[in-house]
Amino acid sequence: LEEKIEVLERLDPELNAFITRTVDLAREQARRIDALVEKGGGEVFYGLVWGVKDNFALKGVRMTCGSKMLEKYVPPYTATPVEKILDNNGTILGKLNMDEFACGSSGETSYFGPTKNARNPEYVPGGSSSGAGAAVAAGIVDLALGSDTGGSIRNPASFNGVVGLKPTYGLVSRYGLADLAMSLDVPGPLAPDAYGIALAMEALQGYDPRDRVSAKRKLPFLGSVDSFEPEQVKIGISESLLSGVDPAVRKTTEHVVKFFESKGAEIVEVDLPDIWVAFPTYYLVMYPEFASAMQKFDGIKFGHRVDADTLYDTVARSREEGFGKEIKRRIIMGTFISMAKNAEWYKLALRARTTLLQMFQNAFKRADIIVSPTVPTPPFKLGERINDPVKMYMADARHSCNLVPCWVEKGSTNRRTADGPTLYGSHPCLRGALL
Amino acid sequence: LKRVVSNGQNRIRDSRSAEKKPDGINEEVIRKAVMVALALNCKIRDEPLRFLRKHYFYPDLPSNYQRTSEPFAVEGELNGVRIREIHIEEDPGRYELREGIVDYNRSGVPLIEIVTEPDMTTVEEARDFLKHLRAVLDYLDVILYPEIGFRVDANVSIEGGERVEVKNINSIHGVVRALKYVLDKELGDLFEGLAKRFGVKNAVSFCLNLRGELNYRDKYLAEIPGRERLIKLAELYFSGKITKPVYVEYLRRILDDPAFVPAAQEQLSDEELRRIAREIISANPQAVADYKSGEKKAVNFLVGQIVAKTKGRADPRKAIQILRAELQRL
Repeated sequence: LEEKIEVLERLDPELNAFITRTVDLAREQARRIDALVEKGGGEVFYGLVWGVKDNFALKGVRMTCGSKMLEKYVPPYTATPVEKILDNNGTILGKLNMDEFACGSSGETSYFGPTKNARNPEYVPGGSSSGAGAAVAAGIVDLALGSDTGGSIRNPASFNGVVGLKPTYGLVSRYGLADLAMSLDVPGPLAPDAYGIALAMEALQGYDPRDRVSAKRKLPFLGSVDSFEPEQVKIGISESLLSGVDPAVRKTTEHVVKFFESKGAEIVEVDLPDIWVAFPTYYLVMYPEFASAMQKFDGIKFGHRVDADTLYDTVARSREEGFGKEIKRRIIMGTFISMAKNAEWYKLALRARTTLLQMFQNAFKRADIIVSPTVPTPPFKLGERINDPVKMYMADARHSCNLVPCWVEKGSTNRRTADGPTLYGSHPCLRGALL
Repeated sequence: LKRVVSNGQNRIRDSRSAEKKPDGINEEVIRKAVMVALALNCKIRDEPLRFLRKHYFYPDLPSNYQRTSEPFAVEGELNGVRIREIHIEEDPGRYELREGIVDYNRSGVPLIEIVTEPDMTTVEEARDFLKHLRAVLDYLDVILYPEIGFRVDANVSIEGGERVEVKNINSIHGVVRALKYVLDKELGDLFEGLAKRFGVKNAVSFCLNLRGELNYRDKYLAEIPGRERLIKLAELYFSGKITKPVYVEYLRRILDDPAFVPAAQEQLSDEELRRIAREIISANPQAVADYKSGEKKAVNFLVGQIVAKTKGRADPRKAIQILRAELQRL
C-alpha cells in the first residue's frame, strides 16, 4: 500500500486520475486486513489496492460523478460492488476521475479536469472510466472498479493498454452506482491482466435484492481462465464489425485472429447483418434514460444550488451552473426523444435491442468468441475532438465484452498507446488470458 | 421552498440520493389493485404492465418524476357508473405552497387510481357513487392509511364551458362541498341573469373566470358584497367598453376591494392608437419584415407590444385593424 501511495503522489499530479484520495481510509483498512491475516483470514483481495470510479457511493466519502453538480455530495451508504471489494479485503485508495456523469469517451468532460493517458500524457485516456484506465496502467492501483454503458470500461482500457470487462447486464449489482442509462449500466473491473479481471469478477458478481435486475446466476470466471484450451474454441469473425475502422485497428484485429489460429483455434464466419442498428438503438435508449436520471438534480433536494426568486429560476440556474456542456446536450436530446409525439421511438429502440440480442445469440451458436475492434480508431490527442461529439460516440449491444491489450506501435518516439480488440464471449469468458 | 419534512418512516432518505435504484414491483399493491379491478367488474388487460415516468420540476417529488403505470384494467362498472380504467402510481409528497413546506411522509406510497367515465350529473349521484365505492374498498380492506388513503379528484363539466378539476379532496363530505362550491347556487343565479342579457356563451366564460378567481381566494360567491358590481362589469366588458386585460383587473379588484365600483375607462382614440402603432412598427423592423415575407403571425407580436405599451388600454381587435392598415401602407 505504501508503495502505491508513493506512486500516487509522484504520478497523479500530472495524470489527474484521482478526484478524491482516501489514503487514511486505505491505511485503516490495511491495518484491519493485516490483523485478519494474522488470524488466518483476509481472503481474495489481500494486498490488492483498488481505485473506484467516482460514480459509485462509498459511505462518508464524497461522490462527484465528475460534476460540479455533486461537488459536495457525500452519499449516506456504500454501493454493493464497493461493499464487495471491502468485504473481500481490498483496500480503496481513492475515487477516480471520469467524464461528467459518465458522458464521454475521452476523459475530457470532467469538471475536475481531464485525465491524461498513462502511456503518453499528450493523448486522451479514453472514457468515461478515464481515471480507472489511467490509474491501472500507471500502476497506482492494482485493480479498478469502472462502469460501462456504451463503452466506458472498454474504451479507456483499450486506450491505456490494460484489460477491461463489461460484464453482461445484471451480472454485477448497480446498487449505489449513479445512473447514466438504467437499462444499460453495468459495473465492471479494469486490471493489468485477465487473471485480475477474473479474480475481481468472482467477488463482484451475484444477486443483490437492492438491484432487482441483478442476475441470480454466477459464472466461473477463474475457472474459465484456468481451463482455457485454444484448440477447443471457435473464433467468430465478421466483416460487418470491421467496416469503417482505422486500417491500423483492422490490422491488429486480424493479427489477433491469426494468433488464435496459430494456437489451434477454429476460425468461423458469423453473420451479423443487423449490426448497423446498434448505433441508433443505443442513442434512442441512452438519451431519454439519461435525461430522466438527471431530472432529480434540481439544486433543491440536493446538488449544486443557485438561489433565485422563484422555484423555477432556482432549478434552472442550478442546472445551468451545475451541468457541463455534454450533459446539457444529452438532456436536450433525451427530452426531445421522450416527448409524447415521439413516444414510439423509445419503444421501437427497445424492440430493436431485442432483435440485436437475438442476432448475437444466433452468432454465438456458431462461435465461442467473436473478435471485434474495441474502438474504431487509435487514441487521439487531448482537445483534438472535444467539440466533435459525433466522432466521440460509439455503440454496443448489451453484451459482455472482454478486452485484451495486444498492440503497441513500435519504434514511435511518441510511444502510442495500445489498442486492443474486444472479445464478445458466449460465456463471460476470459479466454484472452492466453494472450 | 422553506422546509422539507420527513419523519424518517418512508424512503425519502434513499430516494433523494443520487444513486438509489427502484426497489422493484410492490407485489402487495398489484394484488390489491387486481382485487379492486375485479370488484369493479373491470377487464384486466392481458399485457405486460409498463411503468412510465412523468417528468416535472416541482417540490412534491424527490426525483422530479412520478412513476405511473399504464392502465392495467379497463371498462368496469359500479352502480351504473362506468369505470374507464385503473392504474397504479406513486403518491407525491404534500406541498404547502403558501407556507413553502413540503411533507414527504406519504411520498412513494403506492396509489391505485380509479378513473370513471363522466356518468354522474348531480352532486347526489356523485355522493352515492363514492359511498358505494368506499364501501367496496373498505370491504376489500385495501386502504392502507385511512386518514389520507382515500382521495378524490372531482371533475365538473358545464355545457359550453371548460372542465374544472378539484384535486386531492380527502373525504366524501369534502367532495360534496367542493362540487357544490363549483356548482355554487349563487353562481347559477348569476349565470342565468347573465345568459339572458349577454347569451349563454358569454355567461359561461364570465362565470368560469369568476369561479377561477374565487377558487384562488378560497371564497364563495355568497361572501362577495354588492353583486350588482359584477353585472356592471359584465355589461362593460360585453359591450366592448373595456378591454380584456382591464376586465380581468376589475374582476380581481371587485373581489378584493368591497368599495370598488367598475366604470368605463377612457379608451384610446383611433388617432392615438395609430400614432402608437407607427412607433411600434419602426421599433420592430424584424417583426415587420417577417410580416411582409408572409409570416402573418408576426402581427400578433406587434399587437402585444401595443397592448403592453398602452398598459391594456388599447382594444386588441381595434389595434389589429389599425396595425394591418399601417403595415399595408409601408
